[in-house]
Amino acid sequence: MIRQLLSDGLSIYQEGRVGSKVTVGKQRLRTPPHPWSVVSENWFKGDFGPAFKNGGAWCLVLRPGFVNGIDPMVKSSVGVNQSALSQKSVAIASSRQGLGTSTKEVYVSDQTTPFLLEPSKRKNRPLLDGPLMAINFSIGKDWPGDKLTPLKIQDLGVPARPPKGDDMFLSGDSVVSVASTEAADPTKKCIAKSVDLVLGMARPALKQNISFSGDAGIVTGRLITYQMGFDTTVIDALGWRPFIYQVTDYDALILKEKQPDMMDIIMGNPGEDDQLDKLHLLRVWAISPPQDDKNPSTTPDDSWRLFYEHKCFWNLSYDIRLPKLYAQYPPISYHSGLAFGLGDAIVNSYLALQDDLMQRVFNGVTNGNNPKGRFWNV
Amino acid sequence: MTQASQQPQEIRGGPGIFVSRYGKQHVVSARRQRFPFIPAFYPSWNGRAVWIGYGTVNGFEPTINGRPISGGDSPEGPPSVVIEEYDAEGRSWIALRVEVDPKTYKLASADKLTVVNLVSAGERSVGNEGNPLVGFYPIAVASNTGIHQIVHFNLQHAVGIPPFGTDRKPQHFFW
Repeated sequence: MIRQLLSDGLSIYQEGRVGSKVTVGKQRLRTPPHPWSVVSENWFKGDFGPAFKNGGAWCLVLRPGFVNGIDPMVKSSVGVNQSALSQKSVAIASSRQGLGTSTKEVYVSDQTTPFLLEPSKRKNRPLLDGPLMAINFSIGKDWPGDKLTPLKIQDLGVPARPPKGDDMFLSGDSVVSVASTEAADPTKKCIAKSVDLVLGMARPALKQNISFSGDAGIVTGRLITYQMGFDTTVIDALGWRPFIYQVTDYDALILKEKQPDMMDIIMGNPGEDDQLDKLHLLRVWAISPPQDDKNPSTTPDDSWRLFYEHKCFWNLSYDIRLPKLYAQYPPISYHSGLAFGLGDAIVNSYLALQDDLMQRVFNGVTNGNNPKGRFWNV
Repeated sequence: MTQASQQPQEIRGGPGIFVSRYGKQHVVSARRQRFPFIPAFYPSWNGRAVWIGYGTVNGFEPTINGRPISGGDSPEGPPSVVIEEYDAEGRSWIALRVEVDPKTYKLASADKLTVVNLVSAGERSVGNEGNPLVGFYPIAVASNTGIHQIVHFNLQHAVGIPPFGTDRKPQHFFW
């Protein structure tokens, strides 16, 4: 038994007069050191905004990951009082000291210089600076609580983590821990919530441009031009830099998007395109302590436990499809001089419709109407 | 009393597990196993100079000043890249620079594959040095928080050759 415990990574085993005591190390995040993995978790008290109703928030720090060598921006990460911060990075502080199970507002980044969190000041920060991400469980997805226990969560593929209690006491050969007492009480049930962290990349989307030509159009006989153009509203607002944000359910988000079928592609309708390419980084699970059915607390607080289901393990490359790279179908034009050239204009305007349709078919065949980008790992 | 508690269990040390006995008491210190896998292109630095561990692109080992990045058999040891400049966010990249053959669009020799220091993250912002045969890919980034590895595996490289008659430029892909 003892050897089995030791192989699980326990830190210290002490034999006392009453019994034996096994102390589990405080920083027990067993995430392998891959990009996007969780370096530290911590419950911070403070006013994080109207979405955080428990007087605090679970804050994560992620190990830096890169898309095309660039670290993403973390949307609305928690502010840190920079004047009191001697080290520039929270990541250094958290990796050295370990955020552990501290519930204080102020914690020590260095041995000498404390710094203060400013939860209400939220802004976007680059991931390389190790920003604190306050997980907004108010948008979280509820999971059925009647059958879900931490053991069941492990069946879902979420890596197991020792219970939150720091100590496990050995008396005889039985280990008394938090987990075993939970399992012993069948009347109490656990509630689970999950929030997905998603990597987003803004990109242009396709849209149809209808332009009325001016005098030059009269000369060439093409009054109306149909053309597939780009809609760059999102990328103008967000920029080319990747970013990390929180959603309720990534799978539902993807399923909700209407994918264009062949007819849509030919008709120049690229579907409902939110002009974002998304990748699921990880799912944060929060499991409540066992509680009564009558009045369960549904918002995670200090007493809940977090688990992480990682979906992405390596750094990424990214590129988008640019439909402008595909060849332009040569336009059909009609020149006869009918009705002093007015006939050319009328006929060519109808031919412009035909050209546009041919271009759409060409784009559809060559998959040129699909501007969605691809991620691949390096 | 169960059978297990009747027989005193002997605690032995093992790899990473240190047992110290104080009379009847034991203190067992278990050291967490370190990550045993050393990836390709593993970066190390002293704050200014960066050394890159062994890694390949299409089977070629990159070079710095004509010497392979792992040092090879040279008594001088592995060569280093000196970081000259940081960008506004305090970042500076170590990147692979690939120059392909103009006829075959393929990497022909290790001399054309070098490790350089960039103040931006590669090809999109550097702009090929005006030469479409040159491609960049970042393999590490140095910042306030230390040096971070970007590429963990040996890479493959290919150039997307533009179709004839278009104004596209060759595009470098790494995977």
